[in-house]
Amino acid sequence: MHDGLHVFLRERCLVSVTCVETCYSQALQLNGRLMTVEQVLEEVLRDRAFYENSGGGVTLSGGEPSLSGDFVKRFLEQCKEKGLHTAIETCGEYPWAFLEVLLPVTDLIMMDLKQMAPDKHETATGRSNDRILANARRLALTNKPILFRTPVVPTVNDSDEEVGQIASFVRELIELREKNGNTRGGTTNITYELLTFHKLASDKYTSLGVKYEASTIDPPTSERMSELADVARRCGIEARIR
Amino acid sequence: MPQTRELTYRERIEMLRATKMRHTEEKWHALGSMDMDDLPIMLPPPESRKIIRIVSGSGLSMTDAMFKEFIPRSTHPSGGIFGARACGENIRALMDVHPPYVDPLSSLAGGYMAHFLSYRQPAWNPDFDYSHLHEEQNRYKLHPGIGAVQHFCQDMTIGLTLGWGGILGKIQHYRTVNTGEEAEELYDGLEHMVRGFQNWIGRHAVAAWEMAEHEENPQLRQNLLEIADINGRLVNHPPKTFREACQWMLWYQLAGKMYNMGGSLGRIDQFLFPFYEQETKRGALTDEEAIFHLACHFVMDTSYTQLGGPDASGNDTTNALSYLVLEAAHRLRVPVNVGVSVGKNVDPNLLRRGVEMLFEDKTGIPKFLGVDRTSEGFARNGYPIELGRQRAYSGCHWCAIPGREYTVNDCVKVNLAAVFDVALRDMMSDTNVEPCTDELWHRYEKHLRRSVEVIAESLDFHMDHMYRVFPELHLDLLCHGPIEKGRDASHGGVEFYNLCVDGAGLATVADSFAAVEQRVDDEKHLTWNQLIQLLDTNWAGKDGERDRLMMRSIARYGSGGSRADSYGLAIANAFTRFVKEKPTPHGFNMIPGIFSWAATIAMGKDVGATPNGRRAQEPISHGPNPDPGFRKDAAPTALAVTVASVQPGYGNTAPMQIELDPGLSKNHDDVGKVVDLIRTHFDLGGTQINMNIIDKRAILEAHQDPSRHPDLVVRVTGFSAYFASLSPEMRQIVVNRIIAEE
Repeated sequence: MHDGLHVFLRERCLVSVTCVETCYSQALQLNGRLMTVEQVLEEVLRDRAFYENSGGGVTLSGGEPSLSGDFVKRFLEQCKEKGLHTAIETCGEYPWAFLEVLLPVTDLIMMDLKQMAPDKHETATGRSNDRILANARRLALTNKPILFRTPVVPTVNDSDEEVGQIASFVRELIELREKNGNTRGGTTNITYELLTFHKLASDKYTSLGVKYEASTIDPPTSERMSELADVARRCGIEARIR
Repeated sequence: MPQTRELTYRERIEMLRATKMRHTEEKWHALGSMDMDDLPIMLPPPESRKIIRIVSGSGLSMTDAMFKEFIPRSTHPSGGIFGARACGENIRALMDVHPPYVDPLSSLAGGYMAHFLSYRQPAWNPDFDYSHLHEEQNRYKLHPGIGAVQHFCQDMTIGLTLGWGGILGKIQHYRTVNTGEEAEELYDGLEHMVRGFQNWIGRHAVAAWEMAEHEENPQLRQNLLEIADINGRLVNHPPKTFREACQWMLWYQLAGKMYNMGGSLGRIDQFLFPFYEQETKRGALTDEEAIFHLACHFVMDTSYTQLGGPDASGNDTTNALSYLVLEAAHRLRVPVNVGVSVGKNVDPNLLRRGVEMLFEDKTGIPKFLGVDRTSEGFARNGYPIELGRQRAYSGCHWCAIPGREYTVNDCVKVNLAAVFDVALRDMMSDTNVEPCTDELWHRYEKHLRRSVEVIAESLDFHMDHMYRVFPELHLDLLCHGPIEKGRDASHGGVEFYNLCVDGAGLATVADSFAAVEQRVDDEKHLTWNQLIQLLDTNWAGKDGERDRLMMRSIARYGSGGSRADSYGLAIANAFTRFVKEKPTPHGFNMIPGIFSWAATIAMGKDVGATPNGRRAQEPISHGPNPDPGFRKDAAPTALAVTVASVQPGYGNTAPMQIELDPGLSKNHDDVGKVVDLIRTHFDLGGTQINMNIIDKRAILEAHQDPSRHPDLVVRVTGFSAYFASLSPEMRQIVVNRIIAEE
């Protein structure tokens, strides 16, 4: 408390949650909570009927699920035991073993390919893409369905050249899978999507006290997205726009 | 209108829509807001107009306009109009003075400017005293249904087959068969009504003919001559063409609105289909013409109708006309209450087209009907499932067997929140018990059971006397039995009696139980006496607001797996058990539902502050829905699971109200996701879905200034309406739902 006012110093927060419990007006809220595998499964199974009717299932998204390997693996195992379709969204930036251990219990891998040029990738994300591309190649050597995705962010990776390079890489991986005979039912099960940048996350940044670097970037137009899909098509890849 | 070129049907629909908007805006200025169905009444001319407050056919207070020169003839010292003969005479007299309305752009004549209800004051005959029920009705703040009108469904095929001449002949025949006093009075009333119809229709034929004489535009002159010709025939004869059938149906519906604000239409794609099929087969009717005639009907009558769904054997009845009805609503974009059937055998394309319309029009039209669940549920009352499948969606949240079932649907409400308050006070006033949530639940069950018993006794009183107060003359004409037996539908005239009893305020009570259990019993942040003081003072005092927020910030009903969810289920189960454990004392079957309709505001005004953090007189929760903000992610699947879990399951509904992300686009995937959501909710046991895919920006702008978006249509609850026509309180309820979806 400072002069009778509650002051929140994020850097000193120990996540004791006392402040949240005291703040009944919910001005402070705890995002996330500790749960067991069984509790998560219980929550997930409540919606089971929706997965069955829609052909959907469980998708683990970001943070990076492969960094919670043991929990995620046990959870996905139980999902498979219950007959649920499983998917993970991953950035691919980690040792291969992190992903390898999840493959037996994952039906679909959704991996981002944001940029082919290592220096530009590092500028945009803070990390090189060496391991990402290597992991993507190793994935292509399995027969696991993969959905590669490029979030198209104007000024970051929205040029014809940049998308063309990514699409060509995907084409290369498809050929690699075909060459190694890892197709199923006559298809490589490697698909590609262009994701239209949006600003839905801006409120989340604000509530976390983090500057939203993309605040000045406008979403690409649908015409531009179609042009980029044409670029991918010319590289031999059908790209779905989302 | 001078001739320039031939107007297309689409252009005429747009012009009819503009006329309706003009009428609607005039009503806003003269009558103010209206939290109910879009009644297509037009105002009488200003010089003969009088504005009054009345109680609507659904039991809500409303402002209405009436002809000031029309004085009804009372036969009772109270000045009221009671019994079949008096009601028949007076509705006939009202129709006789009612000016004709013919729009040369429409293919159908007719419009109405007066509600007979407004002239019937007092509404209840004081000779039939029910003061012995008042104390408990008031204690539990019940809406007991005494004096409830319409809210069941006619069989339109009777009228389309017989015509007015045939119906008159039928009345005259059965006069000779049934000769008692009750029958004679009923026949007098019915005959007055039919003759009133005939005169009204005939005067429109003359008016159309006179207008044609002065019309310069040959297209419209021809149209007027056709209207004159059609209506001249319809005075006596049954309709032969699709257009004539639409015209006949419109007369019947307008008279229903005029008589007692009736609004049931039923399965329009079934009873009009023979006319459509016969004419299209011989090339006499195009789909464009059929859509136009339907639009001309809907612009004057927004009544409730079902599309598709099973026949008695369970086979799907969806046909080409089902799609044309949807298309008419789509082109018209007025608050038409169209419901699309969704079921195992029902054409899935109808559902898909309905969802596409939600995306395209953003009017909350159509709504979706879980026909398998409602027909299976109805069978649990001891009826064959074939009967359940014949029940037709024909009102806000309800269905009824056309022409064979009397229901008082949507008119009888148990205010679950008021019962909670009684239970809480009962416990606190008992010095022999230590207050605790278990004891409160025990008392709640006791009072809930008693409130249902009071409802049952009230319904018996209604059934004993209604035919001598305000008989169902209009619906009697197209039911199987009233004419044949000489008895009003409310008094043994029809075959089945299944009286609707709805619970309202489920989330308010579920959250209140969970809040007291957690904050008072378990965490001991408050004592029971402190809680009572906070409720009595409406959360006043130094820490009042803090305590209110504390009670409010528990895991709420709808969050999934919470104690409030458990209470929600327990309350729904207890309510269902009490409604079903016995019939009324006179033996009428009651069927439970969970629905509060627009009465969520009125019922809220009857209840002080509640432990869920609700302030005194604020609206109680809506139907079986959780309160807005029930879950941080507002997951539609969590909502769908919750509402499906609390269904009473006896054929009446507990509809899910859902607002979906306006950011969704109408691409293949998004339509598919909504289709899957609808299907799955019904698979889980859901019975009806009222859904808005909303233009959020427009709604928020219209909330600030309704005049900026006068034609914005939203699904408010079971009914859809112009957003601008709603009261500020009702607009706030809709806005709260939308904001909570963010």
